[in-house]
Amino acid sequence: MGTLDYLLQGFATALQWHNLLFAFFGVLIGTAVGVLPGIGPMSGIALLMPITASITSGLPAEAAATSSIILLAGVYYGAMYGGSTTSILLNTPGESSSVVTTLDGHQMAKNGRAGIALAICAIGSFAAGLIALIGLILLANPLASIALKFGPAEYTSLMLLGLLAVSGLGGKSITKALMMTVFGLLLATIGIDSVSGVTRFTYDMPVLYSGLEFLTIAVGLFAVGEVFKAILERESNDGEIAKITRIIPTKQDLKDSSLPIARGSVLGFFIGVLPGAGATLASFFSYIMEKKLSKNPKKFGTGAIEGVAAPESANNAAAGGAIVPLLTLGIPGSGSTAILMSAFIMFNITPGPLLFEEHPDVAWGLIASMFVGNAILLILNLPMVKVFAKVVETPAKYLIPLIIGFSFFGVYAVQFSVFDLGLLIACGVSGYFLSKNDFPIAPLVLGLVLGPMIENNLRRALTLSNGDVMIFFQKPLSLAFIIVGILWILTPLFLKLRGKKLILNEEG
Amino acid sequence: MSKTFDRYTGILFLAIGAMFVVESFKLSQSAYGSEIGPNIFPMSLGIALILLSIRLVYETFRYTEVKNSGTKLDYKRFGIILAAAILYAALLETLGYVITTFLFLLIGFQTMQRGKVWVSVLIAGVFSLGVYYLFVVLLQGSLPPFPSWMSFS
Amino acid sequence: MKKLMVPILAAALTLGTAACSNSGGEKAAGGQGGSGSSYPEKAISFSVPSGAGGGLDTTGRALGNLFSSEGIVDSTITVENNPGGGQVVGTVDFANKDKGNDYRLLIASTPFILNHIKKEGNSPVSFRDITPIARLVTEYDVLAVPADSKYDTLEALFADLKKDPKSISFAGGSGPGSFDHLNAIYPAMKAGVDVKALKYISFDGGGEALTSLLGGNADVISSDVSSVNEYVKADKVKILGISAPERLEGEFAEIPTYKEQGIDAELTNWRGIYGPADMSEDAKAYWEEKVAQLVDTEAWKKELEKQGWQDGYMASEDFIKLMEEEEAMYKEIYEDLGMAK
Repeated sequence: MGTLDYLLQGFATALQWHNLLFAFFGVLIGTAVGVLPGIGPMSGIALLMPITASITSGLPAEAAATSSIILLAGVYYGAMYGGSTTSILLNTPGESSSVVTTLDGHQMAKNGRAGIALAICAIGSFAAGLIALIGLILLANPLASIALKFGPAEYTSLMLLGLLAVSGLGGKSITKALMMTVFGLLLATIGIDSVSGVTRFTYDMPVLYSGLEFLTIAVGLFAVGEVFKAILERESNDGEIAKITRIIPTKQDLKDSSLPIARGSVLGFFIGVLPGAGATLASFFSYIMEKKLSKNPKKFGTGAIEGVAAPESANNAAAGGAIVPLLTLGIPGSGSTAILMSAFIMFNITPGPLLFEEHPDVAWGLIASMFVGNAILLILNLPMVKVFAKVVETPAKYLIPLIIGFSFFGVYAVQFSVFDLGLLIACGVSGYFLSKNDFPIAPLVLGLVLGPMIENNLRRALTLSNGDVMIFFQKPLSLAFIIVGILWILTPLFLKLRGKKLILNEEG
Repeated sequence: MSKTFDRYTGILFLAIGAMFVVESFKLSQSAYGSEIGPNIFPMSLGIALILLSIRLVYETFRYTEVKNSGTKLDYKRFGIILAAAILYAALLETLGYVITTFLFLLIGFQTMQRGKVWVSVLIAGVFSLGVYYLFVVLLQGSLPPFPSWMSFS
Repeated sequence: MKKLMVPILAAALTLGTAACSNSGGEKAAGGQGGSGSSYPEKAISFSVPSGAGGGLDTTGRALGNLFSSEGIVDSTITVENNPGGGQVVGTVDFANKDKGNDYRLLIASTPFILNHIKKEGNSPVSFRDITPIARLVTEYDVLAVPADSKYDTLEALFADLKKDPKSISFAGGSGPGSFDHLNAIYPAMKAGVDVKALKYISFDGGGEALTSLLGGNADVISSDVSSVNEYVKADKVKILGISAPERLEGEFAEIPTYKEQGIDAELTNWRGIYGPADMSEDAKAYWEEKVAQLVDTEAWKKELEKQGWQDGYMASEDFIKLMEEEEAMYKEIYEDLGMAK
């Protein structure tokens, strides 16, 4: 049977009414779980796995496996979408891949365009799902072999490129953006160093052994900080959130976001294929790319629809890309796909190089259901956009304590530690003062995510090469990233020298 | 933006950077695993933070202060909610999720705006019990239960 | 958001209860433990010192479910996660906070032993501070190379390593001092390789380590047998040896142990169940009996097979003896590496 036959068969499986129902519930539950700050796709899937098993227990083994995995894939997508919902409405990223969405998404909500932002997310995610599906069918095997070529040296160069790009996220002051990035990287060094096994800056406190949790810091800086702002600045918060004027994007909105969605999806899919890098880098790179390509980069950060469309499509496409190494190599590319993988194992199906041969119906059923899940997400969420958008209209006196309540729950339910709650509060207070004074928060949070990746890969690469730096220049992919990075810095300087108008990087 | 804030924050981050640099000298130079020891990365980042902080402080002498529109900050309200949040965190594991969440929300609602106590009680109750039920009973997750001295069974 | 929660809750509820009534039908009857005392009078909780979804968590949850569904324990069993610091946070909390609380038990694994004796990331708590009840399951690590590697035996591999320890790189899913790391180091040490110079590269999880092996960025992988075996079936890697004391059964029967290749090294990654410090005799006897009963059931054996775990049941006395021996062995390895406390 050819790929297409399998795919059609997969669709036949995914479109069986009970599987549609499972996909529907998966997306629904996932969205509900995803809107809780702190609980992202990963913990959502982990928590729902046992329930899934009991729901599908009436079916024969293979069918139960397919249905459960369809349901869990639905949860995965739902939770991703739920996470972007809170990024937009409450300035609270549910996971690292929706951090950049807050930059323009929340500004849109403040301008009364919450509905449009949410709708664009759903549309972008759907388009990204479609592109990822096509990518999976056409490119799964060649991509898998490229992903394998990605060793520590390649990652290091890619991350360096990422770090250079962080500076583009800055607000008014480049110095402050760099300070926040470096501070984020520094915080990431706390804990047991995974390369040497040495504890750093832990002072024998076991809670610090595994480092500061990204989620706690992100929820604290963004959500709790935002809430503290509303509490402190009493006068300004009444008129702050404009009434929602419309839900459906205008033709202009769609036109503005169509190219960013397409670019974001393609970029996201390819980055998603790389194990470990995944959705965060994808969303972040696509945002920066749009800002670079834009004729009017100044509008980013003030509620540009491109700044929502691109990263949201990218992180969704990356989720599709992450399935490539999972299905072809049995290697989970991210925490969430690792949990999906353990769901496979629960049903006695080990995803691995043999998955397509041994269980083609499960594999293609999953691919097809990802698409069906995305479609359901769109159908389900477009009408719900209105309901979600209403959240911002909840009276502040109830909304504010409830957001703190949700944040506490989200953090505690994943970390189970009072220390993290303390950290959450501390981050909330500093988040307020920092962003009030134009210290951008997003670079700090991204530094925290990128820190271990860049440091560990750099050190791994140098261990492999016995300390020879040339390893970064000898590997063609790595060299390519370094050249792009150098051009990134040099082009604006060069243009400046030539006296051209600086459109590439407004901060120079 | 405030010049004083920037200046003090610059000094604070300078101190943080210095601290990381000093402390990274104390890290054990494990010969294990890598060509680059575990101290190099934090040390160079600490130095970078110091340099950037100096630059920030220097910049504060260069730009002219942009006056804030002068929003009055409601420190009283903030103080109460902050204190309540700290108590919430501190007592969560002793008193259990439902009780502390209920109390925190009640205080929060009433601090934000006095009155309509019953509505506040209702929302706080529905939220705390609802989340507990949903998460612990339905999803088999774990949250601190009711304290043992008021166990129902 | 609340508006949403209500229908979702209702829907989930109906689904949940419907499913429960399905599976509850075949619940085995009876099985009240006859230990004489009135011991379990309240709900019991298993504390798992890791996050939801991992191997340790899966063991705890499977155990809890089977105790109920097989009708062995009547009290409700809940599983609580207390992750952080590679089991250190959870085990320290358990030893300190739950003293004498017969209603809380701990599920912990080999790192519990390791954490107490290593210098970095040290845990002040050891198995002596709580009440070991039984060992439950075991897993073994293997050393494997890509299918096209020139090495077919450990002997050939270690012969080259003896000449130049830096010529071959090992990949593992967790940092120095961890089980994956020891599995790479210990056999090499026994074979006479200068392990201080050995190149061990730790990745974030076995998946990334495998990627680096398949992509040619590392030469040897140290990881658990069930995840590596899938790649053997696909002809992508070959396993050179397993850390088990003797050959395993079933699909792993082909894999030679380190010992039969003349390398006197064996390492076991186990998971066990513990009671709190100062556990009452009644409660301890109760759980020893119940665990013994459970490991004999068909359902438990099926679970082992499904998860790719080996039956590692060991009653408390043997378990304690084993832990003492292992502690001494690991301490020696750490001392040689300069990683001991």
